[in-house]
Amino acid sequence: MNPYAVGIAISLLIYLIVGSYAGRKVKHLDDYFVAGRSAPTLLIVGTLVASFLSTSAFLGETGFSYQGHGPLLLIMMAVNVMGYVLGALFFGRYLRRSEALTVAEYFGRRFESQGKRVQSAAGWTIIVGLSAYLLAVTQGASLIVSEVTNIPYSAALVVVWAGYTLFTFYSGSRGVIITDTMMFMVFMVAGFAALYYIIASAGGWFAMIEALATFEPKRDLIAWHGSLGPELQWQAPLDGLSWALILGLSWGLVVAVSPWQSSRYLMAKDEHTVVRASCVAVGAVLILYIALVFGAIAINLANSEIDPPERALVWAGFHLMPTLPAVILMTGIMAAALSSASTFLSLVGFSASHDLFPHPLRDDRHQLRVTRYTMLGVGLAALGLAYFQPPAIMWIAYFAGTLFASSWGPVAFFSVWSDRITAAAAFWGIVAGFGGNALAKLLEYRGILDLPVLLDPFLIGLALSSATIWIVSCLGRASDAERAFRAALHHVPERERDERKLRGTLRIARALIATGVIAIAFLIACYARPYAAARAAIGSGAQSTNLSGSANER
Amino acid sequence: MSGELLLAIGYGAAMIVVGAIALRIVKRDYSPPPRRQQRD
Repeated sequence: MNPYAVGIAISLLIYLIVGSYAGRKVKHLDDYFVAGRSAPTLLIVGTLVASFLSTSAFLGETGFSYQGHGPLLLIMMAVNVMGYVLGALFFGRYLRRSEALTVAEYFGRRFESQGKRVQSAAGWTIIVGLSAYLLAVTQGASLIVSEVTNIPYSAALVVVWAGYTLFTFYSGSRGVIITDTMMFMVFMVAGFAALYYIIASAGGWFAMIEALATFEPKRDLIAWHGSLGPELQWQAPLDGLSWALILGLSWGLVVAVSPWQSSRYLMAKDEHTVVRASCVAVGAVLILYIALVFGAIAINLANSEIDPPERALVWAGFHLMPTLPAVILMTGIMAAALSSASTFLSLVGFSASHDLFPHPLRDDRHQLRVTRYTMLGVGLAALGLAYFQPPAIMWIAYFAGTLFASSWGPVAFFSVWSDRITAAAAFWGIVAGFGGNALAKLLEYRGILDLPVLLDPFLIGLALSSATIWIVSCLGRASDAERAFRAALHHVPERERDERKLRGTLRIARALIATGVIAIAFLIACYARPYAAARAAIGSGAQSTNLSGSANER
Repeated sequence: MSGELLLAIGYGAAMIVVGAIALRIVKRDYSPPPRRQQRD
């Protein structure tokens, strides 16, 4: 057994033990669905970030940075993570105030005149979107395990599946948020360990920046627009910038309202925890991305021809790091995948048992048992689908995230901020946003449509959903009960107006501002200035590119 | 101003902007009522 297999096996065992222990404390439906609504800030931050970042961050996005698009990824992330705080302030804390068990249930109760229909529509989008996402993450993690441990793919699939299914089905959200937080810590350490060794292999941070600024095999690796060219994704800086801003906006909506992010707030012990966790998540993700992006770009200095680029970080683990840190890196990549998978599985299971096929059972215990069996059934179905790798599923995973942004985004915010939105408008808004985005993406994927950046399928879905809500709302009137429900959402509970809690939350918001100031100082001193100096040093080669793509002498 | 400098400023500014919004809204919504009003 190689050291990577040992590391991964030990980590899986620990997650299983911790998850099982947490499962023993699950007595009621509230414990299983929303961890008893008692989670402190650390656990909410852990589960928010861990369920957001998966193999797509540690393999896909590091590969994307390695190819030369790292700076655009930083721009995208800066816009994206703003959704955490804005989502928490303008949706998440109201969602928690509703005391629903799932986000779909919140929609059903908010739009009570057609509650079942709205809850089912939201439930189906979870089943379709998150099942696809779950399969993609499971398959991605299995490929990594198979590669680093030298076991067959089918065996790796069973190991990965068991690694998240066993404790998720037994412990529900109570186990998921604890293991998510442990996994969050493991992959944060892994990200910075990788950066440390990659920097060391490049001769230190400033030598690395200088070498990257003048790196000839791939030009402009760390210019603000990244590498450009006919063989690359973008030819002009403005195209890349538009992509980064639009994707940042769409993923900003995802972290604000998507089920696997906003549902975390249902578990928070109070509304201060919701706001605090969102602020810490912004800081944690943005700091981690500085490490991931610069680390991935710098792998080029050791080997600029890794193919496929998604293997860049794994290659760095094998070739640039000593065994123990490399084991931590592989365990961290695995943790990122498992944490997302456990959250997705739990949400699909919750939706199947609670939003789509609710059982009018005698008591909590029976309902808990049925929900656990449903969860296990969903897990087994996911294993079967992942094993046979139906190709039709993969393209869904490609855009599953932004489906929620366009279908849930407008309905979520209108549900809190508009008295006029009707239940029918909410239902058709979800359907139009989901359908518009999915159809445009399908036509683009099949090569039937070639959409410009400004007509991204996400934007089409978002516009369709918003227009549908407006038009359908004009044709009807929200019921009195719906208006009363919304009014109740805007009533701040007295227990939340607490001097001590307020001071703590304000301290964290100020800490986020201070982190922003430090990040600016760090990036100017350690990136922008040394980059400009290195470009200036190569004299006539020193060029900066304006937005239209033409080069100017600096 | 170079694009790299703007990127450096923008990256940190994202944290500053949302931190400032959180500060303002939390103060507005969660400040305990003044003592006189509590007595009333």
